[in-house]
Amino acid sequence: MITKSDIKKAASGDEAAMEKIYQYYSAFVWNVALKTCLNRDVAADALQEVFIKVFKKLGSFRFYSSLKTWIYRITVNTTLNLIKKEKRREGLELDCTRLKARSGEPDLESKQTAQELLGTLDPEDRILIVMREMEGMSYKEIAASSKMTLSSVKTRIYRAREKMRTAYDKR
Amino acid sequence: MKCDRNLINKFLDGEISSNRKSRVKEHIENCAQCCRYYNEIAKITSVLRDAGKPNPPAGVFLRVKRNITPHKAFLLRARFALTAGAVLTLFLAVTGVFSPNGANAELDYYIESQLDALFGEGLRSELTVYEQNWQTQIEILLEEGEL
Repeated sequence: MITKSDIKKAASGDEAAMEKIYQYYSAFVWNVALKTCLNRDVAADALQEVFIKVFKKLGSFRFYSSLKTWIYRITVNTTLNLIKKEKRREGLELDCTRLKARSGEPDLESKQTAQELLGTLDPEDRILIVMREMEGMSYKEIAASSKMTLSSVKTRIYRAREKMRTAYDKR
Repeated sequence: MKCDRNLINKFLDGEISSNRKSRVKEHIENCAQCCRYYNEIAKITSVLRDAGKPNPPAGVFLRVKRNITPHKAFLLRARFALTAGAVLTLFLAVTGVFSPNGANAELDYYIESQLDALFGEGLRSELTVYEQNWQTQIEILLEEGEL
């Protein structure tokens, strides 16, 4: 649990507090970045960039929203901007083999299928699906993190599911 | 009840009122098309859920720290420069080298003319602006209890 005091300490440069915040949120940022970028190197850049922004801007965090929503919003913006900036979309989506080669868990097939399904979506829809289906976030949380209305989040997620279903049928 | 895919999605998400829930469930069970749609979407969401959450790569926090440290170092240097400026100003005021009331007017004039001869008049006016800025910064830091 991250307290207000942890946030204030981290904002003033306390490394232990910064590490606590990193440990608490890095799994989420990494999961969202990796599954949206579908490329480990770009996702690692996103992870690093998100936390650099978080710690540099923490001094201006005014507690209007929760730290969680604030970090989620930075994650969404940074990840999508990085994908646009890299302009390597084709490369990103073809990088699934590398992700596969690194995994050694028994549910490899499920992982591969998930990567294939996510690969059929645009990054903007993919990040919504990752937050909803893989991170279990509520539609309200997703709307706050992506600065979209609740109804457009739902519509886009339903459409993305439909798109993945069509791709799944064709397998 | 008509076939409604949005409603099936809401049903899957558990975002449907309990009295409507039984009607939607009944429709799905009796409509081959909706039943197929429901099963496929349910399968996809479960595949995504089961894909697991990988651990973040090691060493990223160190890189983040390294990236934000120069910022901190800059602030420390700036604070040191302001403190040094304050001490210097205080020293000059106490020793009377720069005297606002003109007690050492001759000495002031001599120093100013030497500075102008060496660096031109522009530098002296710039120094005056810097001194004023320093004093403002020092006042702000004193007010905030930073010094």
